[in-house]
Amino acid sequence: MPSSVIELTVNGSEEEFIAKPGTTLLGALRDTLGLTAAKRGCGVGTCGTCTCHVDGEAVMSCLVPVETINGSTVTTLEGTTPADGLTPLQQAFLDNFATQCGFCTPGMIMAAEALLAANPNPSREDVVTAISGNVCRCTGYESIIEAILIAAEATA
Amino acid sequence: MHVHVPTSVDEVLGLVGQGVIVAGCTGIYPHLGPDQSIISLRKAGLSGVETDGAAVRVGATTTLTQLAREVPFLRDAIASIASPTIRNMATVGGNLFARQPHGDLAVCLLALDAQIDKTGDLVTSVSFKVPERWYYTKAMRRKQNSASIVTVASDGVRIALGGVAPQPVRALAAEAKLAEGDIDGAAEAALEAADPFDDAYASAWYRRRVLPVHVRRALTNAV
Repeated sequence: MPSSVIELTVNGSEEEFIAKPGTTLLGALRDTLGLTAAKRGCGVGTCGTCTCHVDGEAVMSCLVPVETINGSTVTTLEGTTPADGLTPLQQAFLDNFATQCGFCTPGMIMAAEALLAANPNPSREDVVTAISGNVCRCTGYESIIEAILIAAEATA
Repeated sequence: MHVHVPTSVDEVLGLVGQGVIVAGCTGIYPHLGPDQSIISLRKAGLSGVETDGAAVRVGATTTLTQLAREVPFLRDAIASIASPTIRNMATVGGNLFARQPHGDLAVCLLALDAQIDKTGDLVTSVSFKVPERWYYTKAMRRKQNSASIVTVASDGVRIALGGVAPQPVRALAAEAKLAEGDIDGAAEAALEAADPFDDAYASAWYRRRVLPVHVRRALTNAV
């Protein structure tokens, strides 16, 4: 099968690019569009570090064949970040030492962004649920949960 | 390899045999080789939940997140499956094909005596009635995002089990005991339906050992 032309709105800008058959959304973001915040961890949907939003919902971008979402709207960590400075959530991660090696951080923040968009006043349990698909192998979960709760309080 | 994205059921049927059918891409897709073609149902128009009184018809590519939103009695069961991110992708139809100890929604559908609607060999929707009573419990290694050790779903008449056999199973002997109002008897009789396996989550011995406990807990805690 020949490569196909894919159109996506990524972080607010219209992107058109050629994708080889079987390219994942994660592969397209990183290798074609140069958006490298989303990471490839496990590649099978169990670690969550590739988490992005497609049409407003958090998904594992390593499991999305990009041909299947042609025409969709995609938001990555880069797209949530203001031109200067950080979002309240990012600042809370920084202030609360919620970033250790940093590899899980993009996915953690995108999972948390999805939570806070749907539920600006989450309970601790809501936060634990929201990041239950995201693995932090530094095991820094407590500070991540704290950071998300602090950001929620600061913005609510 | 080809990635087919058909936009109608007819188009899907015309493509059968030319690739692996996928929808949410969370179950089979991660295990495919790089050269295997896929037929994605994502744009085939099979998504959505229709309710008419107690009757519910769920399109095959409805995500678990959508189903939980529309069918409240299934929320606890759906919350016990994977993570919110995966639930945004994984579909109801796909769950029917999840290999044990996954596929907890399929266990629920078995307990609901759900009907699977097909066009040719393609599952297009699943239909069931909202039960008057509903019991569900899932034992797992962690509170969230873990596969089943034992899953029990019941409408107070039928009892379906997950995690304890190669497929979701009805516990018919247990149902007979339950019909007599004998919950302890039903818990023990559930073992007759069990044909458990060893895996990374639990041994067959352990699954058999705790099955009656979880059947009893399920049947004494209505959702």
